[in-house]
Amino acid sequence: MDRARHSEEALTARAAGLVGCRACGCVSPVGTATCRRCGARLDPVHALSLQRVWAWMLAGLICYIPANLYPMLRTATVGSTPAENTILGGVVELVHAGEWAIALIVFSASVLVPIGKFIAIAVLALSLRAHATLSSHRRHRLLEIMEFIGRWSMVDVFVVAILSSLVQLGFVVQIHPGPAAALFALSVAFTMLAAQSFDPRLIWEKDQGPQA
Amino acid sequence: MNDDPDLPLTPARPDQTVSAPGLMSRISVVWVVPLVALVVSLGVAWKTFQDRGVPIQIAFSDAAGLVPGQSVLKYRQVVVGKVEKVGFTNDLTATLVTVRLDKEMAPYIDKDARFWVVQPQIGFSGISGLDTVLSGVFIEGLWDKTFTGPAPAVFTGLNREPLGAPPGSGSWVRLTAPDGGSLIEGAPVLYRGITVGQLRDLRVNETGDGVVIDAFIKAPYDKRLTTSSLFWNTSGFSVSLGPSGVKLNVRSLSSLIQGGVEFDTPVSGGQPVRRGEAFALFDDETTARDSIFADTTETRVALSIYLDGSVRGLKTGDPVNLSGVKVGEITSIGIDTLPAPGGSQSVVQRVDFAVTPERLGLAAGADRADVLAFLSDEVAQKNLRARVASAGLLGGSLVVDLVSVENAPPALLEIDAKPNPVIPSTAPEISDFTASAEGVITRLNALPIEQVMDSAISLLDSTTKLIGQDDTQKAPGALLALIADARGVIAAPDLQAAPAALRGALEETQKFMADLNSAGTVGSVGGAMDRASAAADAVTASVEGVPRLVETLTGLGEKANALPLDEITRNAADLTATLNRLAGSEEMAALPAALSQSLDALSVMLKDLQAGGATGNLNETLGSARKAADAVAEASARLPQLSEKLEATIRDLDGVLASYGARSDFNTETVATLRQLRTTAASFDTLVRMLQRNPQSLILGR
Repeated sequence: MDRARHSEEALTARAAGLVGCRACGCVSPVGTATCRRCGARLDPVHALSLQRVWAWMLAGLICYIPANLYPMLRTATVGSTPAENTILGGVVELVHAGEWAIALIVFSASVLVPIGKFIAIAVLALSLRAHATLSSHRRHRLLEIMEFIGRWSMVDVFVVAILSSLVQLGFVVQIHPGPAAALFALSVAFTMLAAQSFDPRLIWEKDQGPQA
Repeated sequence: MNDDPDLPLTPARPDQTVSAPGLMSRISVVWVVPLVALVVSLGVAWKTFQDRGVPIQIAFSDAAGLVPGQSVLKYRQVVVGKVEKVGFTNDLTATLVTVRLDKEMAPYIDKDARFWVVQPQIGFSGISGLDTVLSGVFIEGLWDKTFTGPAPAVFTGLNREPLGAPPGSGSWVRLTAPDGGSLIEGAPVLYRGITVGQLRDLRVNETGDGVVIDAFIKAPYDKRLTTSSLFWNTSGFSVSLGPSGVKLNVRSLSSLIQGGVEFDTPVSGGQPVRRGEAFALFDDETTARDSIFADTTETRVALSIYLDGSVRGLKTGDPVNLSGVKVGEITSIGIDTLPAPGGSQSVVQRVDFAVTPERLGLAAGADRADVLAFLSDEVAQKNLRARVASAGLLGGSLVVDLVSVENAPPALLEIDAKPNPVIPSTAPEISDFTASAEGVITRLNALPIEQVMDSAISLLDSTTKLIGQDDTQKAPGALLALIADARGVIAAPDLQAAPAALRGALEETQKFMADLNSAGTVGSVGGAMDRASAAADAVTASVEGVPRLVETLTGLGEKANALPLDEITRNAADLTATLNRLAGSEEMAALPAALSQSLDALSVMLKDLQAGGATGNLNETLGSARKAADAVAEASARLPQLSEKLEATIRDLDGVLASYGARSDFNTETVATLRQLRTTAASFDTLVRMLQRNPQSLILGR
């Protein structure tokens, strides 16, 4: 309720005929090309930014699907045929091995977080169009969380990178990254770009836009 | 910004330049990214789908160790597929393994493709499939490029690795044997001791009266196989006791445990084998090699002999020898009745045998008539007879020998006899081993061993007693003492002083005689000459005694030589040392001088006599002279000996001095013992005499 009230009272830069710099926060009159203070490019808020969000998210999603189908790790240990593990397969194996904690970390970093991110981005993007049930503050909060947590999705990629560079014991054990590792890294990168290209100003301006 | 202060506080609303709503401005360029991602993903998916192999299904009796998604299909040890699914056939009689075969291999799979599960196997002939221990069980496939027919929907997997599957890798033959012996599946096939193949699929034949074994011989050894090859069982080991003694034959350890089959092609002329050519499997090598001559294609001539006496031990298959070489073998032994001279019938043993013409030395291709003609000649002219003889180490086995018997009663080959021509036989020569052994033992018993033993024992007892007697053991010591005595006697200073005195005396005598001559008293000279002659006779007589003494001493020396030399030599050395001291002593040196003086006195006395011219007492003087001459003779009798001993003493002395050196202790002690020696010399003398009288007493200890 409190926040709702805040939103009612706040004056947006757009309403004031200004455009805020996303880099340093300095406001400039609408139409200014570059920030007066830091020289960054000033983007007027327009619908294209939302398109970028959708595009990046879609790219991330496209990469995410094969990233889950293809093997993430190729493990060759002595005494067994080379094993290939997909992300979920690895989680299942960890669960079978009784490593619940690690399984939980891998699962959350590789499955929960990316999927949550997709959903969050989609919700945010959709909420700008239709009549949102979420308040602007909640949406902003969601964006912050998404940005913060999104980087942790790279944990899985790092694990693969570290394992495959460290565990090269020749005949005994060899670990190679599978095609899914690259796809997953791309997917994470794309969703991060999607989150990045989501302009938080849209959240507020949507509320006030009609009034202006 | 607007500087006008009158303007309201509401910010100015600058004109927004709205660009033309072009397509490019309305659609973000970022959309390219998901499009590219989509295209790439679809492309990858398509490629994956395209590269997906061809599924084939193989039915195995069991799928031990096959894991879906992990187990692989290998072709010549290269992975060409992966097991996708392990299930069952509809009727649950076999497992159905679905393998995703690599795309590029798929065209080569035809109906002749064979699949088997490779599992680690540890057998007597080695370990195989060891790689599966680490990598897990896998399926091995085998196919070739030639297309033989469309692949079946479900392949039937083999239970074990097929042998010789690639053409040219070996040959398959089929062995038949009365029983499987100790052969087992996978037992080796040997060629001259080298494993060249394997036995497979041992099974009882269709009629159930024998076994059939498939044998695979690897290339290039299968080149040695012809239709005339022989196969025999080398299982376990064989001990044979034959004329050449005991023979132990063991092939490889592997064949000892799991059995084995060896083959060889001893005769040429065989045809190349076809696949599955049948061979008989012989029990052992000897049987196999003998079978060459038992070949049914060869001509064999059946003959018989009749044996009067009962001969036990002859059996079918025993050899028939001519000049010690096998020419045939006994085919049957039976009983026949023959008309006896008295009109009655007598029962005899009939032995049938067959001979091979080639082995008789006849030309190849000789037929029955040739053989009979040859034998007929031999029987009629060279008295060839058949005889049962014993063979082997103990004479346990019997053979039929065809030998020429001298002075045999004339006989002929009964060519027309039924059923076979009969060779006349002669008395068997069967060595009775038991009888011989008994004879030997009887003769051994007859030997007077006990008497000999008794005599020997008593002899040994006597010897022991003799040796054990105190006297016997004392003898060497006594002899040593004797030698010492003898030395003592010889070394007596009186003796040593004698020579110089003797010389003086002789010179005086000479002078005296000269004087007598010159004195011109011819009248009395005759008498004097007689006396002198008598004196000379006395000298001669006494000199005659010398050789005996020398002999005695020599004998003594010989005995001494035979005695324990160490001690004797040591004592002798001591003695000589003593003597040396004695000789070197002042007393000794003075002794000759004293003697010389006394002789000088004699000379003076004689000169006085000469000067006095008292012819009257010449006789007396001559008597004295004769006495002196006697003394001289006595002394001279011992002279040669003495000089000898002195020489020996000096020789010994040198050695002793060399070894002992100038040790004052030794010298003083020697001087001390010298005196003791002198005192005991007398008693030694008696001992010497006693010995001369009765030498045997020394030996016999009495």
